[in-house]
Amino acid sequence: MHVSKDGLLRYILCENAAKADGEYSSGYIYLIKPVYILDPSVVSRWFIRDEVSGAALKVREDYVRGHISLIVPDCILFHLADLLQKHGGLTGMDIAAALKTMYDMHIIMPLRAQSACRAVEMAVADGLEMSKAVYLAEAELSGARLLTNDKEIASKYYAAIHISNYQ
Amino acid sequence: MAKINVSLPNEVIVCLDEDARRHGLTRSEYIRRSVELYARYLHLEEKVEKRIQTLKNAVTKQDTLAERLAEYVA
Repeated sequence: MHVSKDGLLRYILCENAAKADGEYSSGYIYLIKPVYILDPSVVSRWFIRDEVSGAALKVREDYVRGHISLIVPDCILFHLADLLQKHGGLTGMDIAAALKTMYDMHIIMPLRAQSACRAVEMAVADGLEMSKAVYLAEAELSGARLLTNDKEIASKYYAAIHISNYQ
Repeated sequence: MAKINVSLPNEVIVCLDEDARRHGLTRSEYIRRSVELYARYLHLEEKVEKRIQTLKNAVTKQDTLAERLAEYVA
């Protein structure tokens, strides 16, 4: 696996600058590379392989290579754990290890209060599930695009892109 | 502040003095700032190396879990 050291170094410098500003979604990281929000329908494909996994793994590979930035709200940990538990085949320790890999990838960010509020607004207005609206709200408020395997969300909202259309 | 002796090639001293003068710094202040900056760079580089390794391990772990899940489904 190739990891771009320069790319990562630049990313950390910019990330630190953004964090010092108290706003991780500020313009800094956008100067470097495209930023995507991921929802559980994409991240779960890193573990549960199917026909969608190819695109989901390409997203992961592009992140590892330093071509894109990824932001995943921390609530994904619960959603991902639920999906893995329902799927079966993994012990509790395995699921915990899967969640730890999310932290180790440095993509987990705390869900902001304004994103949670916007998610409630979207859920009520559009009849969406809160657990789906939260990723969409995060994308909308941070000016990033949401990568999802949910066709309905991808077709209805500008902020969302279906994972099959990721290039 | 302690004083130390440092050996430097003549051409480096010429460049250093020229640059220090241009920025209104004494030779000592210029060298002190350079050393601090380089130490910070090395620290950051170390951090990046660790982060790359953690990232690689995370991806490997994800793939291991994915293989186990594929076996479970099969």
